[in-house]
Order: sequence, then C-alpha cells, then structure tokens
Amino acid sequence: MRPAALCLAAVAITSACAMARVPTGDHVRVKYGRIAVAADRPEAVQGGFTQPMTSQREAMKDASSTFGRNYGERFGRALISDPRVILLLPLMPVVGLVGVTTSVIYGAVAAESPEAVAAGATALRRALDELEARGGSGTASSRSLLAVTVTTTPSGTIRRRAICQRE
Amino acid sequence: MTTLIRVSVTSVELAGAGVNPSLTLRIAGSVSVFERGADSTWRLRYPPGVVRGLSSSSDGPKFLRWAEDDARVFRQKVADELHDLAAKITTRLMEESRR
Repeated sequence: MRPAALCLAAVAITSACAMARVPTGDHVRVKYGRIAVAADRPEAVQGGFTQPMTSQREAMKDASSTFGRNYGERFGRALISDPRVILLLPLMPVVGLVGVTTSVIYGAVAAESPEAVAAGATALRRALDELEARGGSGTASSRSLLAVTVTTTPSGTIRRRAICQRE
Repeated sequence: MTTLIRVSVTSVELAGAGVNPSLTLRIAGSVSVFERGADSTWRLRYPPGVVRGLSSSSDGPKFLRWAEDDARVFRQKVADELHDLAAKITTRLMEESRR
C-alpha cells in the first residue's frame, strides 16, 4: 500500500473509533496507528522513518535509543506542525490535558506504557478540574485562587495569612 | 484588615521537553494590591503584575510519577507551591513597604 493510501486508511479507522466511543485502551492503539501515518509522511516528521511498525513500537519504549528519542521528538513536532494530524487530536483522551504539552505526552508515551500514560493523563486532568472547581485555575482564568491578608495590629505586629477564596 | 493582595493564578503547567523528561511544575499568576482608605473604601495600590518563579527543581519527577495514585504528588505539590507563593508575595510586599 502506498503511503497516501495508508494515511487515508488510518484516518478512516480513527474516525470510526471516535464515533463508536471506544475505550481509552483502543484510543491508545489508534494513536499508534496515527504514528504510522506520520511515519509514512516524511514531510510531517521531517525525515521520515522506514522501520516496520513493530520495531518502531519497540524502539519507542526504549528512551535510551537514538531512534526512540528522535521519534518522540519528531512526532511531537509533527503533531504541532501538521494540521491534518492536529485535526484528529480531539479524538484522543490524553490530548485534552491542560498544562502538559502534547510533546511531553508523546515523549512519555515513547518511553512508558501508553496505557499507563493515558491513565496518568486522566488523573492529572481530574486534579486540574478539581482545582478549577474550587476556585483555582488549571488554564488561563481571571478567577482568584488566593487572597493574602496582611494585618497590622495596634502593637505594630504584622500578621499575614493566606487563604483560598473564590472570587 | 488594611491590605488585600489578590493573586489570580493564570497557569499551572508541567514543563519539560524530549522523551519522557523530568517535568517542572510552574505556576504563574497576576497580583493586585488594594488598600483600605480612611473612608473604608478599597483602592488599588499596585496595578496587576505578573508573578513567576514558583517551581519545583529542574530534576522533578517524570510524567507517570506526577500522575500516580490519582495524581497525589501533583496535588500536594500544587498546594505547597500555592501557599509558598502567598508567603513570598507577602514577604516581598512587606520589604517594599519598608523602603
């Protein structure tokens, strides 16, 4: 199959999975499919790769390998630079994580179990959501998270206190 | 209460680069200082400013360590850093007010 045909096939698979609301594990599997798409499109990864998919996955798990390191970094850049790849990002649960860049997520995926990374991303997402819900912010927000009161007593003693407060 | 310092946290970020790097927690926010006048009204003393520099060390934990056990390390570190941020802001303002 030619690279262009591979690309279209992977996109179709990903879209179908998204509509079916497949569980996280399947999303991770699809994500590897996405990596295959990027690898078959040299312009997206600025150099491209020729290794078979299986060896790519093994190499990505080995952060110490040059291939694994380069692949993670290049794929992170590809996600940012290729609009056709970015278009698919909302389909993946880990990408919505606020406060952690996409390249970090994929860097972690390259070196760790993708299932563990997806679960970790969910846990961090939940922690940020809870922070936001109690008046803080995990993203740009004008809501006040802290108020620090400074009081000067009649004797001149300065007291200070930090409190959490919803504006 | 004579002074109110309002801190709006604008971002909470785990920053790093490369494959599975150590991630640094960075918290940024803006600060406004209000003072109570003789007529008991609050007035803005300092315009909003940006506060940065709160972070764990550069050799912080990796992604999965931040996230494990329902993000326990992340939650604790955020709480610690926010209280530290409050203390640092207060100290800095105290020093300025003495000049």
